[in-house]
Amino acid sequence: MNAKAVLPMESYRLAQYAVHVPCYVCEGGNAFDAELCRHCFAPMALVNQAGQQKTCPHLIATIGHSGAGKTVFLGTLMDMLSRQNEKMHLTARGAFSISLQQRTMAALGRCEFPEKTPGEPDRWNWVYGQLRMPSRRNVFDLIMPDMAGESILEELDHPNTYPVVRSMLKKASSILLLIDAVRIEEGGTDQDFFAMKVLSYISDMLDSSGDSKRKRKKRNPLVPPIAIVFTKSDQCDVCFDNPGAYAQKHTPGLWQQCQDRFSSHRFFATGVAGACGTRMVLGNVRQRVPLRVEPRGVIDPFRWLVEQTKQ
Amino acid sequence: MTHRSLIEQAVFTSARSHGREGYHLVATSPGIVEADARELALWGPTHDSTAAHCPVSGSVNSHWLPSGKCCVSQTTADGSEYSARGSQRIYTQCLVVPPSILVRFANNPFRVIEAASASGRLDVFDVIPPSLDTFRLVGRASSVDPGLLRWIASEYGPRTVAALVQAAMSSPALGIVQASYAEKLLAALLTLFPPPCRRELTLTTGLRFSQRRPFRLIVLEEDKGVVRRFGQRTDAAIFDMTGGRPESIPRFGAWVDFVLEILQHEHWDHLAECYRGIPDDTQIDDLDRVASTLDPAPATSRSIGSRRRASANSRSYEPQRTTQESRPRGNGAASRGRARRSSHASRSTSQGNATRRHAGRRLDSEAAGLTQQLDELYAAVSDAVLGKRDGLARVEQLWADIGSQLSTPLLDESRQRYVLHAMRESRHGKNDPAHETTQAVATMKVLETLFALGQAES
Repeated sequence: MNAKAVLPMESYRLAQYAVHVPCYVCEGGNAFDAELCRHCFAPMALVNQAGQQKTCPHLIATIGHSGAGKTVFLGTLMDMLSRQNEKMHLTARGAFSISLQQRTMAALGRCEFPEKTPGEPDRWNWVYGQLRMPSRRNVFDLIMPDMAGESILEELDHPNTYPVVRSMLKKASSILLLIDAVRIEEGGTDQDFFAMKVLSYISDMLDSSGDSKRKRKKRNPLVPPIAIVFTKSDQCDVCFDNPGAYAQKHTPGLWQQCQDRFSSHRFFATGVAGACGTRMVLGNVRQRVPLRVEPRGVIDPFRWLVEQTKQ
Repeated sequence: MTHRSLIEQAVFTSARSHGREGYHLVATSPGIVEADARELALWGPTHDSTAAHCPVSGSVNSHWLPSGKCCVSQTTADGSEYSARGSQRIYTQCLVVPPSILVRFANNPFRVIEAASASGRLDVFDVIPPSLDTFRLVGRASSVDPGLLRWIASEYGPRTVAALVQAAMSSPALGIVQASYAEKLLAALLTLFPPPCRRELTLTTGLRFSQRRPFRLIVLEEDKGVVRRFGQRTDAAIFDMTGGRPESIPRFGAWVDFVLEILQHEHWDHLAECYRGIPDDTQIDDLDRVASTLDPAPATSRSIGSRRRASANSRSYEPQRTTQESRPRGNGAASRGRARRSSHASRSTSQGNATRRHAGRRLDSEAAGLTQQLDELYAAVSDAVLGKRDGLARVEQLWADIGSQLSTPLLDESRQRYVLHAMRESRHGKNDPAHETTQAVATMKVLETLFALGQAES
């Protein structure tokens, strides 16, 4: 008598792991079922979304010091773009793309600012969106991560500490550089130095790649357009009048570096909370809160970047 | 005092200090080198890094630094974050411990934390000074804590604890799903490894899982998303202790058998005695070999009957274990690796009982030789899957010899065991794409050999 046994052959499942899926940000290889890239911890869902579209998405890097307002700015921007239909409309792709907007607007709705962004890249919020504009026939796909300020600064000081930051800056089609106007008004120079570090880092990265002759040309396609945004300008109204002049006066190092190295740049002023106050929560913990939500100048830098990228 | 007898320290938290804001290394003692400082910054937990199960006393963590020293740290959620966003400040006090001091505490980071706390070195600074002191840490610790072992054996049962030890030995990263007593659990688990082997067990009791902090032992929250994300690591295993006894008990190696008998008979002093004889360069991979030189029972209570009774007790919980456990230990070839005979049926079916009785009569007459061949085949399958040169050839030869000695039902049973063993071995490969492909091919060749014999007979 022959005894036959049916055993499931699991070894065939191993074959799927032989095909590696490159991360969209750092292009490192990953298993087909990985949720996060094992090299830079960017979500692999970006690859899935990009694979479904006909055009390659543009990476827009939002850079800023810790506490500059990146999360509030991006979350408000996403919310505004997703609601308006006339000039620009953003459609988030993938459930993960809604988290940033949801978190920000929920916090603002409770008269609170959103919590600090964790330093671990595997806990950052990423947005994959499709932008539709009447002036463009094709949709404009974009990827925007909300990165922690400490991680950005750590990468600037010690390159390759955070590969995802480096990869983002290297592949970015455009850059949003956020500067805390309140800290500038207080007389601090940290924001200016941080911005100068960022621009130097980007410039050095560009110098190390590509043809040197091309780099010296104006409107060099290798140099991404940079929108320098003074956040929290609702507490510093003079910034709204002429952001460029404000930058020349209060952040001279940044202003000069932009003139020297980045031909495609512009200064903007923005504000989300019309006014802020402080309250004490349980345990005598001080908490800064928005007294109202009054977005101002949030879309302008983004619109300018999109137009620059189109060119 | 040389630098080897001093402990350096650092504080990683959120603050505004000399040009930096947010979470960073706020203060260090003079002896911390740049490479270690960067590593501390990489591992430093930032906002909302403590898991839901982390107690108020904080999370105990340990990992190694480029300088060869060990970072033993305690992370607490203390006070408000400087930017007034309403969130709690995550404060981590890092002690950079030279190996020579860690040895005094039996390579146990929990004992280091206790000693540092008792000497007031883990107090949270309200105002963090720009520079911290280097200090001496007095005290030492024994290698075994009987109270902890008694607790873990009574709380979870010796079999479950033994399974946990097996999982910790065989997994480069182990996530333990546990709702409470995280620190006690990991401290007890650490005690079940000899001090030299504890160096390999980096751990955290209360930090959230993050791929940037590759601890070997981590207590996970009871959150399906967290557990799933941890499980996606190719080298990770998960041990759920929240539901009582785990659903499946893995095969035990020689070291785990040793630990099991220690737990069952509470031979704590004997365990400490055994630890004293283990060389300082012993690694976890050597433990099964080391176990063959140890006896789980102290000399005063040693008897063949007590060993057989212990083996019988262990069989009653493990339906897949075989009747072969009563063979004498101490045989180097027989005790190598996870030496469980796969030629016997389980107790779960009457047919299995009949087969086992039949197998028992058949094997008694040829026990020694066939046992050795089965041992060698077990090792050969591991070697073949791992791609060692003569592994596959040995599998073919041994399998052909064994196949000629066993009846068809026993052969089928054996094949099933070795197939499962091969599949399990194939999952323990390096996290390297090229290596995974090679290992997959090797595994398929082993499977082909195992099934080829059956096809030829049919």
